[in-house]
Amino acid sequence: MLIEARSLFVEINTAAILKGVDLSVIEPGLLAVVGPNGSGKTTLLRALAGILPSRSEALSLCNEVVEGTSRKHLASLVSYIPQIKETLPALEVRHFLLFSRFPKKSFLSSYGQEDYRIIDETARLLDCRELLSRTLDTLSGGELQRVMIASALVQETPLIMLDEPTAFLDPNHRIEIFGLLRRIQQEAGKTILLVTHFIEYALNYAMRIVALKEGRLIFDGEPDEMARRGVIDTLYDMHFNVMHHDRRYFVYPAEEKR
Amino acid sequence: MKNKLLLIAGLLLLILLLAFFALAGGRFLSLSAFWKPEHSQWALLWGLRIPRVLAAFLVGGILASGGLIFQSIFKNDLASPFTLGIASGASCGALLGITLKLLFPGATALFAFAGAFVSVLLVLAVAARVPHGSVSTILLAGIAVNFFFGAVILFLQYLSPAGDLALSLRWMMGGIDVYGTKDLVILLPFYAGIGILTLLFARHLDILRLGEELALGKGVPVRKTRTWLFVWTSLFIAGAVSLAGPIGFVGIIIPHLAKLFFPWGHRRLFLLCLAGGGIFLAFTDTLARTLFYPAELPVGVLTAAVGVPFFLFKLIKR
Repeated sequence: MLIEARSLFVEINTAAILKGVDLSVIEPGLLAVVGPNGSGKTTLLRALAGILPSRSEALSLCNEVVEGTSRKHLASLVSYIPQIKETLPALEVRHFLLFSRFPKKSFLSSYGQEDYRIIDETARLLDCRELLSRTLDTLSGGELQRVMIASALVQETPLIMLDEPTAFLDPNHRIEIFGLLRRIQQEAGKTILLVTHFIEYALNYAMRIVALKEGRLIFDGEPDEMARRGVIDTLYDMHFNVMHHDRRYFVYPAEEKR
Repeated sequence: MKNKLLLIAGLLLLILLLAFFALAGGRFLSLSAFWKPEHSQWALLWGLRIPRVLAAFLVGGILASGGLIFQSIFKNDLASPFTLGIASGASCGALLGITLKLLFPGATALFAFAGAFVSVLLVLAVAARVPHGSVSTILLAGIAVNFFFGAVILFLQYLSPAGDLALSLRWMMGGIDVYGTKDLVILLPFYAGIGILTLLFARHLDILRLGEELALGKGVPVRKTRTWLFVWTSLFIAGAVSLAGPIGFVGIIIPHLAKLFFPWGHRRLFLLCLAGGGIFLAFTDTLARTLFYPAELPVGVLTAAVGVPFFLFKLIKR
């Protein structure tokens, strides 16, 4: 079992954010977590990654119980990439990617040839070798996201969790990032869990969608099923037209808000 | 290879500089006093000058690298053991020692250490009661503790007779009043301690500089790392402060100076602080003994007077 969460609760300052979420992932794939603002998407991701304390009947990653497992060991199972809100310092990308090797290092060992080899290989895979000698503060939004995905790969974890990787990107970069994620999922056999507001992209790129509303799971299944059952309307309290054309989904609001 | 050569060259330069400071402080001694035990200046050089230069070096290194650790764990350029109440806790303890006339050898230092320890405990106790507290909680708690001890210091000084007042003021100006090797033996474990700490946690601090969330994702146990570094660094700083008094400037400016040379990589930064902070304090202490020889200036007066112009110059030229 790659991810198992049974009856997951999270409270932050006595406010219940997640109210008993069940989620299990058995096979690798690209999973999208969707839901309106404040539904608990990011909280779910953070709790699953073991970054946020939670209460549950069971919570494990790759068959290892999250509670009591060290942060460092968890980081060798799951690579968690938060939404980058603050401006990053003038650090060389190659050096930044080295940080992803931290979970593999004991207290006294230092980064070596093998680590640089993995970085170069990953950069080649993602077609971003020219970015390696740039500094983080000079990257555009799209470039930064590619570097972040590279950093998740360099960490060499079976699970990758990304919080809104396309939040500030224009449409062409959004397409690029979703395409890239689907490609590395298939080529490297990773399990990728991503939070997104772009429901259309979730339908078109993800293999499975998890929909959250007010801290509860209201849907968990394949994109086709989600489109068919009108889950999107329930999710946002609004009627949407969902069209299927040329093997792609198009979603647009049918009316003003109810 | 190039790095190793640089390291060896730096080490040689360090030894030469320290040897020069030992000869130069106050009256200039003759070079042959180093290796001729029958030389009339031999005892002065080995018994007083060298221990003092080494003590200044150790204290400077501890203060500078401790300052760097504080700046990094709090992600704040102004965070230092001094803004966070450790120095005022130590001063408070020292003053208590002076006021209570506990004149067994080392009483002032012992009380200073205890005072610093109490201030750390206070800050931690407050931080522990705020479960979702961020970095700024500890920072604020520290600043509040600093002001509290500041008030106690003023109160103690107000009550003190003139003689004690002069002693306490002199203590608070800071000074490397080391005679013989006894204090060196006390300082050495503190210096070694902070050296080991920097070696173990340099990588954690590099990652932490990118922000808490990213650091957690990369496997750095942020809260634990912060608490550990805060407690241990505070204790090592307390050791240095209890012997040399609150020489605050070194802990703030030397790390910034180091960052102007190397913007990234805590391992290099720490080496620079451990060596550079030490050299800086040894240099200013030598200057303090020489400028108005045979009178001696408190080194705390000189560190800022010498360091600030240099720092501002580097800041503008960056």
